[in-house]
Amino acid sequence: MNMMDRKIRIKIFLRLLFLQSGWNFERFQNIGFCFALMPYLKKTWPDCARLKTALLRHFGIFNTQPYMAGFVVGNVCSIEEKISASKNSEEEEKFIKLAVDIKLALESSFAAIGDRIFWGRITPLATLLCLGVWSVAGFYGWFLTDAQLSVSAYILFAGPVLGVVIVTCVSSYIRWKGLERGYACGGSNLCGLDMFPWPKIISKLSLTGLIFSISICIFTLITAGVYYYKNFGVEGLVFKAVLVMAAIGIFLIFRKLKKSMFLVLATLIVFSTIVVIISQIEGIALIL
Amino acid sequence: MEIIKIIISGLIGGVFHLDNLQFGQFFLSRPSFMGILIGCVNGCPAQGAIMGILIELVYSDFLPLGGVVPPNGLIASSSAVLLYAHIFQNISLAFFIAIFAGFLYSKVEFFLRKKRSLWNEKMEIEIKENRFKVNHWIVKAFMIEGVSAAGFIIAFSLIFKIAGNLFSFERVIPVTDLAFSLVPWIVLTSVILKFKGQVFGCKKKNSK
Repeated sequence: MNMMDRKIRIKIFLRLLFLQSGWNFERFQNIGFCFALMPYLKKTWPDCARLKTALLRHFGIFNTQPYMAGFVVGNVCSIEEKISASKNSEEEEKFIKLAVDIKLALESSFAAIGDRIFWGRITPLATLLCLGVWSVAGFYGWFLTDAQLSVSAYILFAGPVLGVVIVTCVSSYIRWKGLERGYACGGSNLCGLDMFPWPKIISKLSLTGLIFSISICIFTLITAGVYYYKNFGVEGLVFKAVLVMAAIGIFLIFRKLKKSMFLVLATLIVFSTIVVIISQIEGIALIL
Repeated sequence: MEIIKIIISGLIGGVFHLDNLQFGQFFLSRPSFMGILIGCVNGCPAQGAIMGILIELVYSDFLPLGGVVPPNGLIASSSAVLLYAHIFQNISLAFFIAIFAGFLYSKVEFFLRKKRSLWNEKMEIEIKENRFKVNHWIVKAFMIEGVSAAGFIIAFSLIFKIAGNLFSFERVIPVTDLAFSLVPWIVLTSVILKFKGQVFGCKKKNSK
């Protein structure tokens, strides 16, 4: 009997939005996970004692990428249904062990996939998209100190809002489809891992990010180069280029040493202090 | 009027902070978005956008993987706008101090997540007593996170408002101005190298 009807699925989907509520170091997303699972468990286990056991069964450690959790939740719902339909205690024990094992296996797999796709690629891509929108709209204030700042708030919002819309659509789709697929292939520890060509998606996103970031960089270099040449001449352009290369050099050294960005910024402040002191002593006007 | 704007901005920050972890993760708590929003409230959307996007690029180096608590971009961007609009009127100084604010709040977040570990035992007792509703724990998490974020933004801004009245930061401004003008190039390089590592790192693995 298919107990995952549309009404329950919508309830679980909406509750999945709260997956990370109550995030804690002891068991990570366990509170949100149980909250999402609750409507299905209440339907599967009308008896209070069995509901209590089922809930405690899933109150352990759970940690995965939040958009991918639907695959795991759907799978667990399907196995809980199998547990409730078990003919004897041996079969029930077998499915209980399966529920716990599959949850652990899938949460790690989907965490690895989801972290690579969303945190590693889509998040920086959304930032680059924002920069792209602003560059096209003529807002250069983020890299040119003297750029015109009287720009419409709609243009400013357009950048990040585009990222919000794309991520909301993609994440909601994954959450919804994940729930459906997880339930359909419940009991399999490969469930959903073959639903999309994940490695292909990851490599395409990486390539898109590389091309996009290089394009933005080339655009800013040309725009900044023209600006400094027009306003400060060749000397000004060269002076600025030397400062930029020194800053990038500092960054590359710390990157090689695998140090954090905070250290880079702190060193940048020290470097800037030295440059400012020298420029004040020598009477050189700094170009920002 | 300034204090009212700081409080309103803090409250807005507290509400949108819930998108960061507690609900949705729809990217509404991103520094680029929050910088513009808080900037609109305080009359400086463009400056908010600039500081927001650069904070976002700086913090993109820190990923929320496993149990890692990254620096908080929303706190940083909201603080940056308030520091610029009501205290320093200088974008570079506000930016660097706000970077520190985001890092500092990650310690607060670490503490809150650690404290929530104690809830598990209490929730288990409730479940064993056949009290199955977890809703009130979710609401509690929302309230605590929202209030702590709002409180931090307001307190951080007010502390620097007092500091701004007591001390002069003028001598530091040429240094921060120069450093700030170089930040976009560093963060762009960082993003390019990140994607380059992903593309060519994968190809190296596949060729082996």
